[in-house]
Amino acid sequence: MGLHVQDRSVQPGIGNVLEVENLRIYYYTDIGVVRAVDGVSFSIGRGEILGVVGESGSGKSTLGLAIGRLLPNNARIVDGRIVFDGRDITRISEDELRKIRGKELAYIFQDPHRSLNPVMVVGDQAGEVLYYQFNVRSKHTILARVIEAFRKVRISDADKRYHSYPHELSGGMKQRVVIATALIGRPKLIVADEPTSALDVTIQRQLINLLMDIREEYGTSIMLISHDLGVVSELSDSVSVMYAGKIVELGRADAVTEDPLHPYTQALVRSVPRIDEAVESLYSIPGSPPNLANPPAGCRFHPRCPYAREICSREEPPFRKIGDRYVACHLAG
Amino acid sequence: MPLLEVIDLYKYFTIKQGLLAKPVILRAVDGVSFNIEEGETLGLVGESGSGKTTVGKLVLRLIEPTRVKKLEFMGVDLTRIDDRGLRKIRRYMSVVYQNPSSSLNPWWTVGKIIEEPLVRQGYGDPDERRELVEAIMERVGLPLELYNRYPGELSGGQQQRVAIARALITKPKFMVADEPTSSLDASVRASILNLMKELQREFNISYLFISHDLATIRYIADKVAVMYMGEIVELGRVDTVLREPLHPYTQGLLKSVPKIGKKGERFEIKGEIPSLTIEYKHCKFSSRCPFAFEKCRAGRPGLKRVGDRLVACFLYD
Ligand SMILES: Nc1ncnc2c1ncn2[C@@H]1O[C@H](COP(=O)(O)OP(=O)(O)OP(=O)(O)O)[C@@H](O)[C@H]1O
Ligand SMILES: Nc1ncnc2c1ncn2[C@@H]1O[C@H](COP(=O)(O)OP(=O)(O)OP(=O)(O)O)[C@@H](O)[C@H]1O
Ligand code: SF4
Ligand code: SF4
Ligand SMILES: [Mg+2]
Ligand SMILES: [Mg+2]
Repeated sequence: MGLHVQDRSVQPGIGNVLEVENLRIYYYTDIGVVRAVDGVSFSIGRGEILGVVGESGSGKSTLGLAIGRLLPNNARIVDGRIVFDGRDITRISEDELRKIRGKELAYIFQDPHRSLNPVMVVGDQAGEVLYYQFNVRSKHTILARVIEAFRKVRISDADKRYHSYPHELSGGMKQRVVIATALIGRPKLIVADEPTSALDVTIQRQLINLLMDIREEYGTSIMLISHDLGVVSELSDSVSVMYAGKIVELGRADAVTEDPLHPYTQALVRSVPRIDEAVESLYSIPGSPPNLANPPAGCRFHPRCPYAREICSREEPPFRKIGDRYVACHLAG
Repeated sequence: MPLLEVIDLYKYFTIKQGLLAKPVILRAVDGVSFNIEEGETLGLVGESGSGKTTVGKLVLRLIEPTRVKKLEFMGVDLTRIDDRGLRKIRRYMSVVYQNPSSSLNPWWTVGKIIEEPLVRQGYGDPDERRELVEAIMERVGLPLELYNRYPGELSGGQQQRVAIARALITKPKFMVADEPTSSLDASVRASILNLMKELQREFNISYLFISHDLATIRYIADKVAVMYMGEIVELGRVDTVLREPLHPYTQGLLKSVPKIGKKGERFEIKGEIPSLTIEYKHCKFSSRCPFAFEKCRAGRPGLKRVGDRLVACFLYD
């Protein structure tokens, strides 16, 4: 459950669909090197849903993109391994990778415009996986399967929407088209980056239930990147929390969200507004988000941490096992 | 006089279905009325695809209404205004679009994007503007190192903060904020909501705040309107509506909110989402409503006053 990497040496193919080991991804810009992902390890088991939460700008999308080798040109994987279903993604050929994408590994990008071609009707786009990856040649079959997939994600007028262009759909409908497209090939792993941020809670709920069913039925694994701690807590088995390019806490979803150990996770959970309470002002973490081109020494959270001690600005805290979870903090445990 | 007054607003789109079939009419906004007072926030929530973004674009006159009885901003009739008048009145308006990445000029740096509304209004000299840009960046939680980066080199939430900074820098009278905090972590979201409230108090700004996050709406809004399939089905003070929803759709919405520590509760509103391309002579929610009765399939309920709010449901006749 997301924790295996630290427990034993990586054994590709056994039990886990994804294993990430000591991954470092840097962006090279005119102004300096941005250390977006800086030594991250985790794994995702078959049929497991791993939630990834954390600060905006902490490297979550970068991490997700790296799995399919979809990083922008100015990014480099400077260290580490990404083993997908037994194959080291950082080493295989572009040809091999193309066969994996869409079929075994599907993406729901944070920006729906990255997934959708503006000049092609959305139904044809969703059907492409069937045509190219599964060699379905009957137009009729593709049409029927796509409309069925659109219905499953609760798109109204699904048959008519087949012929819509992306700009004719609402934000949440675009998101559902992308989800339907990702599900159509029954992939082994879906990297879902903020898949429900544009959906109202009733449709969100239906999609949560749908994803649970799909996981049951096909053993699909999901890497669920989201700022919605409610969604993450309901859908995920385990959760990893990112701050400034590092995982600071990793454990079972209920444990991490209900009883967080790391001071950053605690502050994050405390910032979630409540629906049943009128308050004058909301809690937010004091101080500013860190600069990843020049991150703070020692523990990266120390300038904002209420418990920081002398050691925290000097030494980087190790990622330690505490009970059945992992925490990177000098004081925890 | 309210800052913004909207009566019976409609927007229909024509959608094609393949090359041969006849195009159909889609009723995206189907008779919507509301007011926003000075210094007030109206929260707009509701089903995905129910017309919220379209309403936001209509009241800014970014798209043309199909028809409308009244659309007035600061006492000016927006349906009769010419381009020059519209440009003038737009100085008082601003907008954060639902999808930040497509609303930011990819060839401009962050600093230039945020500064642009000030330039357009001929505000100050470059040094003064730079000072304001840096101040607002700081307040929305954008590290100053990002000043010279391009939007494509930012995370989703950083792009969203650029869009918010750009919309707030002119201290507008009215701002449409369409899911402005959907890509932000809880802490950054909280500080932005606090900032929006502070500026509202200081400059008497009004917001039309569209969001799926009901807890955010609870905090930021004074009133809330709930949309379902192009119509407002409930409108009232945010604390009463969210504490004790009256319309069956609002009730289902509140029951569906995902919560920390609520694993395994799988409540959902049942039934297919009905078509927007047919004309309804009955309640649009009746195919999914647990309380539907005969009357609901025989006529369309209009918004009626129930206590201190408005509800469109036959249960309260
Ligand atoms: N192309 C790029 N060039 C330079 N820096 C980049 C680039 N893309 C992202 N970054 C930086 O890398 C860091 C991590 O970005 P990433 O998109 O992975 O964050 P995230 O955790 O997904 O944030 P969010 O929750 O806001 O989407 C950010 O600080 C961002 O500014
Ligand atoms: N340019 C357009 N052409 C055709 N149909 C459109 C166009 N713009 C919007 N629509 C349709 O109008 C309806 C309302 O869309 P709108 O974007 O206002 O919804 P929304 O409430 O903002 O949804 P979401 O919460 O998913 O963003 C949808 O059915 C959408 O497909
Ligand atoms: S290591 Fe120190 S600064 Fe970092 S989270 Fe723990 S107590 Fe806070
Ligand atoms: S009018 Fe009838 S069907 Fe419509 S919401 Fe009310 S009870 Fe339900
Ligand atoms: Mg991201
Ligand atoms: Mg919208």
